[in-house]
Amino acid sequence: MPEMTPEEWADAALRRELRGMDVPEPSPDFDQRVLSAVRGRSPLREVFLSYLRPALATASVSTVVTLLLVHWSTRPVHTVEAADVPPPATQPQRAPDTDLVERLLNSPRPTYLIFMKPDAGS
Amino acid sequence: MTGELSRSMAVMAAPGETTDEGQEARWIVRARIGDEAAFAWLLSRYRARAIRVAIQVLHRPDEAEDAAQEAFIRAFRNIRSFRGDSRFATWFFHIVLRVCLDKKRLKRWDAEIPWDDAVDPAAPPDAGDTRVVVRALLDRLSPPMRAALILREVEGLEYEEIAHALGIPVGTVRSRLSAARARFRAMWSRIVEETDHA
Repeated sequence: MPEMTPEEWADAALRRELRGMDVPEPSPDFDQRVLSAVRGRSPLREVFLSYLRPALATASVSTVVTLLLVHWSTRPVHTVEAADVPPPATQPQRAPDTDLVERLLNSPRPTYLIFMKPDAGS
Repeated sequence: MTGELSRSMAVMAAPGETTDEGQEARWIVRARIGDEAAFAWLLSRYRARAIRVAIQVLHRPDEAEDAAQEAFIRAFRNIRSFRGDSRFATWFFHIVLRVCLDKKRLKRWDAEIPWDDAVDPAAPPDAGDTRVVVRALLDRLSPPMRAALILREVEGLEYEEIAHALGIPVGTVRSRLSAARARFRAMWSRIVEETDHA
């Protein structure tokens, strides 16, 4: 068997000692204290809530979204107020051209002919 | 709920693992629904191991027992957050070490803890009994070094698992373990030489 180097010897001693280390005996009520501290909380309730939590979160989000949609869809439609409409561009009203009317009425050709092409009546 | 349980069980008791781990996975599934028998089983399996790790860090048996107890309470209360991504031991030792950190009023293991509670390395112990020597030398290592050593040598955790338990990068675990061993070897050699001279 090959002889161990001082380093190997040191490593082996360290390993052996670490593994063989005694652990002091814990207090007799060690487990009981842990269990009673854990028992203070109701694990079943925690489990139940943990399953319920995602459903509750989804429900609340969808409620909020629904409320927003309802609010948006029932909002008063924005009507154009009369005051908002700019007044139509005012065009200067020309006074009827009475002279022209007179001339047309007195002309020998019928009035409607003036809307016809010049060669249509001939 | 049954579906969730069987899914968790399938995740934790992967095929190919040892019977011990499979059995542990089944108890963990039961613990997740608050089964007190499962808590008792986990207590019996991890009680001594938690105290041993805590003693290495805190150096005081009474404080170590309190830390172990607190770690169990935290672990059982939050057991639903354990999803089987790592071994239960890794997850649990992370909690034990977290409690120890809190007791030492430290925030992280990252920063090397000063050698406040270490004995003067210049005064080597009497080399009469190997066990006494090794213990004395171990006491001279910093708490994070001892924690990493115990997780590696006693609990058999992989580097990645130690990194997760200590909350430090894997590279730091490697360097810390290497430094711990080197330091131990140096002190050991010095004692051996002095004993030879004597």
